[in-house]
Amino acid sequence: MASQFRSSLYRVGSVLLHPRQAFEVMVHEDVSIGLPLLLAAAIFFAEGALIVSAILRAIPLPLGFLIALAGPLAGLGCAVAGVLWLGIEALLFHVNTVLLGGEGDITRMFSVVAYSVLPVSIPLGAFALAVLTGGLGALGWLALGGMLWIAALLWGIVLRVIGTSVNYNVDAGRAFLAAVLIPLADLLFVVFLGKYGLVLILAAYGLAYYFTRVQRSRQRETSLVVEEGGEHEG
Amino acid sequence: MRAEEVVGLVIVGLVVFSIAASFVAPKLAPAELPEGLREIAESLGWAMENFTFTGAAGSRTVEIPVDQAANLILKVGAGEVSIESSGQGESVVVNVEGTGINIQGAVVNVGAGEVRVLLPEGFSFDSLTIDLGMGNLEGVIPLSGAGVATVDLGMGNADLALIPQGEDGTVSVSVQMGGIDVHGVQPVTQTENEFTGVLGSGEGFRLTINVGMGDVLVRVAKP
Repeated sequence: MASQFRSSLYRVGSVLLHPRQAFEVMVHEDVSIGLPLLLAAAIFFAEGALIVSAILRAIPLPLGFLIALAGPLAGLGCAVAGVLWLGIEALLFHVNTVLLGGEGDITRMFSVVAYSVLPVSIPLGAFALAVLTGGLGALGWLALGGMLWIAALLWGIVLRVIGTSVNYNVDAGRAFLAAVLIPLADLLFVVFLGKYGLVLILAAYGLAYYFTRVQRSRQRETSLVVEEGGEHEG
Repeated sequence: MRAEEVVGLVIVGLVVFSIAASFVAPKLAPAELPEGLREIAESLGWAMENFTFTGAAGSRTVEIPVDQAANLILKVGAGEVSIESSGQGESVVVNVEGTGINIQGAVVNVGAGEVRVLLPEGFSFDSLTIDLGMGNLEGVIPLSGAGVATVDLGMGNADLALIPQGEDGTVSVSVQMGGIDVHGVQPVTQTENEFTGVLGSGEGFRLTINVGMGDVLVRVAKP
């Protein structure tokens, strides 16, 4: 039990300190998705519960049964929504990378996006201290948490890019395109064009999938012809 | 212990700490609300009590004779209130659209909705009481020489033009959180949250405005 715990801690730490090596190990050793998913869900839970607790911390309300449950319920909602969101992200990155020529496993991609949430635990600690401190003293912790949150966001993006690159065996440029730029473009389309943007995105993905298949089947035909030509010469 | 294990332990520790903090934090709430927030909460509490779905819903138009309307009471839980000078007719017309409508004489109760008061030419209030829990208040208040107008607004903005019939009077405005802008009177006391100004001797008409959260603009016309 203790060695399993230490090995889990080692996995978490190695993702943050040596992400490329850690993800390569995951690809080769087929590691379970349970640990990153549990940690990501716990982080989302803490975020939701802290927001509600921050409000309750400032406004005294009779701590009735319902009020006492408000924080945990909000946390639970956030955890469920967060995990669903990770699933959508993993699917999106998977589709983007496959269309760009990568080959990989979507379950491992789910692990990657779940691990990329881990850096958020650092600013979360600062926010937790802000909530516990309360009053003017909280401002300093909030400011620190804000700065750390920006760093955590960037760190998470780096983890996503490295994880995508390793999982799908593509270069960093294509991984960045698949995991950052294309999803960002998708988001902007939906935000500014609404349902029409969504229709455009689906159409674009459909066309990209069609042309990718056509291109790959042509490539296969060309390589078959070259092989047969080589056999005849031989 | 390897560096990776230490980092892993820190991450797991921070997550556990954050979850624990979310459970502990509500128990650290102060015993009482700070004073500024208390008034807002009381006003909101009033607004919630008056936000009723009982009573009539829809729209109603009522004409109130001027002698009754001179002592008008408007109580609105949430919504918009406007007082305009229509310059027509011989009675005060009150248009209400919303829910929880209850109008008895010169007392207008609305749970939530829009209230429009149309004043005939030459009309002035002897006594006007406006209780608005949440929403905006705008319009004109013609006030008789000894008239008293009281506005209590929980959360929202007030933009009023006071038309006094007398040359002497007092305007008092108090805002817990927001701005105060009063024109046309001589300031007597002026702080971030309170304003008192007089016209002439200060005796005579009286306009009192209390706002929990919002901005107040009052223009006092020359009598």
